Amino acid sequence: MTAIEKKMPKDCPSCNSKMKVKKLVCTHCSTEIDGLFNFPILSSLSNEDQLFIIDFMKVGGSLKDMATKMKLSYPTVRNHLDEIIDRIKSFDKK
Amino acid sequence: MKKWLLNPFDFIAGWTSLIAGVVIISLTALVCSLGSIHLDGAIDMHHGTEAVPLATAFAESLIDWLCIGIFFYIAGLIFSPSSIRPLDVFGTQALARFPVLINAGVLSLINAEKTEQYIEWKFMHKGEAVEPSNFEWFSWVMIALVTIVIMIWMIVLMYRAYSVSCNIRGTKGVLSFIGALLVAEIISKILINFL
Repeated sequence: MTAIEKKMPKDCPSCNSKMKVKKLVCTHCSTEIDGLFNFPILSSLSNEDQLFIIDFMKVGGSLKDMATKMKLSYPTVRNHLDEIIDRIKSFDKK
Repeated sequence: MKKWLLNPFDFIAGWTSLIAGVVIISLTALVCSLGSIHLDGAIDMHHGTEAVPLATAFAESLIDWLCIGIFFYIAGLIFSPSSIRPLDVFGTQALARFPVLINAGVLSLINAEKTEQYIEWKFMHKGEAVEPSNFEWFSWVMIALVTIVIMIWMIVLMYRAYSVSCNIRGTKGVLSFIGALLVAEIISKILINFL
């Protein structure tokens, strides 16, 4: 049986508001912490954008290396990064 | 394939596009010189009857490309939210001139001189009266149609090059593109007039 990759829902399926974390569990000793925690800003991005940021970090923040890795042109990668920055700025405003 | 024909700039920019573009511009100048074609404006192409020296053809090609590059770069500096590189603007615009090379080739291969002379005589009262054959009229119409399609392709490529290299899209992108192109066309025409 293949394992299903669960996607963390970030928006409420009922009213579309942003979700928060209510409970944290230690899978080793089963300790549970109850509360209300915000998601980190980066987790509000799409999986695709998160992977882009991780890859960008891995190549040392070089757009040129990122362009080579993605087989895209330099300005295309720069435009993608600028779009992600705009999205992060819009989260900040909220 | 469609992506490569209409927007290769997602994959090619920078030095690669600049080197390829300069080769294309040089070849275009050579074909224009051999085929008596003037590129007397950023997006203009006219078939003449007199020979075009290679130096003139090369200067016209270079002025067209530099005017386009300079005014699109200025538009990018004004309207782009990103930090843009002149290398990308000039490189992608040079590559976007590939259709001009094809069009120059078509114009050089197919002879519609007699029809052009007839049109000049009939509507501009210049030259001598000539009577083109049906085949010559057909050739002229085919050239006109091919030229229109190729020029539209070139404008699409130029817009995509501008959009990718300057990160400008939507209404702002289209309006700034049209404005910069018009200025480039006027300035290049004035400069070529001095040649």
